[in-house]
Amino acid sequence: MKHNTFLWAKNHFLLISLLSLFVLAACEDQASCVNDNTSEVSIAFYKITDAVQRTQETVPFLEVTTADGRFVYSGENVNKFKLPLDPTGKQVRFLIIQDTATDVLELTYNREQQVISAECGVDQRYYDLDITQQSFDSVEVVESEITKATNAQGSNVAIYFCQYDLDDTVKLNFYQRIPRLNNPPTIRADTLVFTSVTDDRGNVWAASDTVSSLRIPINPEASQTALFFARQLADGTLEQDTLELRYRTTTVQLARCLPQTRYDQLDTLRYTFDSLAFSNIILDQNNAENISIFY
Amino acid sequence: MQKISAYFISLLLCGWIGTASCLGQQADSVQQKKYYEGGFSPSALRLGVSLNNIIQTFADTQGDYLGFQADLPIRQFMLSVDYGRATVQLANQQDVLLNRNFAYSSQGSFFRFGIDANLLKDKEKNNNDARGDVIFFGLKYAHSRLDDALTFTVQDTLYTSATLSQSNNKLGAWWLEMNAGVKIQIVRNIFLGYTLRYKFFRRLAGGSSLIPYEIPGFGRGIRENGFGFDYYIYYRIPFR
Repeated sequence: MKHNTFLWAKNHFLLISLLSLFVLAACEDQASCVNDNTSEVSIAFYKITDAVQRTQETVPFLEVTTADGRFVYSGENVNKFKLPLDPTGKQVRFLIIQDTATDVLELTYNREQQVISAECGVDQRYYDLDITQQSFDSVEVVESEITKATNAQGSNVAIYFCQYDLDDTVKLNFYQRIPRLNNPPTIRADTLVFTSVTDDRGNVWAASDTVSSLRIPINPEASQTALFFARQLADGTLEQDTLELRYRTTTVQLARCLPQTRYDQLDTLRYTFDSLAFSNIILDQNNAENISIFY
Repeated sequence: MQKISAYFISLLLCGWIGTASCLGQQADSVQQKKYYEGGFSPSALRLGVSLNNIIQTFADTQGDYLGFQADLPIRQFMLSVDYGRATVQLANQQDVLLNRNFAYSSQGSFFRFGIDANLLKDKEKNNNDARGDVIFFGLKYAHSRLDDALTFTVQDTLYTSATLSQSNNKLGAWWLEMNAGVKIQIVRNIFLGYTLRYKFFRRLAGGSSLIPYEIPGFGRGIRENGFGFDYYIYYRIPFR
């Protein structure tokens, strides 16, 4: 003897089966014509500011064409844009034109096809995105699967602009200290006439020039450089001053950028000026001044 | 919707499995040793044909489907083998500008084999003999082989518009299945039964960039797992 519930189910099995078939017929999976695949690759610009940080970069003017000159995109103040992939190929090459430069970006990818339904047709998935040629500072594939979600939330490709701001030039500014009775001296920019400014390698950086500042390259092969300043005083006598500088030389490798030589920890070994002060001990083209020299 | 159907069937089967469990508890309380007539030799051969495949073939203009199942009851177990064929033809010659103009065809076959265990206890005989009514659970290995071909037109304003073709030749697919279902004797030696399948761990071998629309025996090719359902009518050939 079997359990009563089972016997009831068995006796009504045909009925239950037919009902189930109707339910299943209604439950047939209907494909949606909307999906996440797209043939548009999103590209974003970034500036590398130091070894670990990057910030979004805005390009004032941008125009993109295919390698054979067909127009693709144009915009102003662009930090993100989209490039269309060839739905029949596996490689595209673009010219990316900015105000100051024209760069190349060549992308390869794979395609996969699937039939969604008779109504929705065929969908292509684009994946395995890679960069085969480019002329920017650095380019990285951030996401190799090309989807609408990636376009909306992030980017497939990041184009990096590197900051090559380090240099080997020491910036000297000359000041005059004017004493005041019972008050701190007044300091103002001084204009001097140098008969010569030379360095210990024999280079001449000024000759009978009237200057209030000098930009003099240091010796990149050594850890110190001596500068010699000669000027004619009002009474006709020749005054000689010496400034011996020392510094540290290191190589800085910012992520995705070329290595740069950095000169820092700028200091004096000896000087004969009345006084001087360091305003910046790193040689960087963004610095207006490294040393203030007071006469 | 597929989840709803799976839920519905699960409820149906769980109800019956629950019944079987109750029966089992009653029998266990007696603590009698189970006895199976005929030892380990098969007691019958059950041959079945998928009714939903036949209905689908007549109702659906896009494909022809055929599925068979055979099982050998041995004590409370059933050695089960399935074989089937599927042919699919899809086309849209209308929406050229929407990139929906295409023609697709596929044909292939599949087989699956594995072991099912009968959970329904016959209180009278104090055993789970699978030769009669069964509520079963089992594991299967399944394999499919198919050829398919797609031709579609791509309209593009920037690049060249073109008609592309992709095909798979003897694409292999295999997967695993967890099966649950019932086989109920309606009249002497004639059984009706459901099989609910959870198909998972699907793998493809030897394919091109074309994902098959439908893998025979598995379902939509884009998925790596999913549910399936078959409704069979069986004829039992008793061996004793």
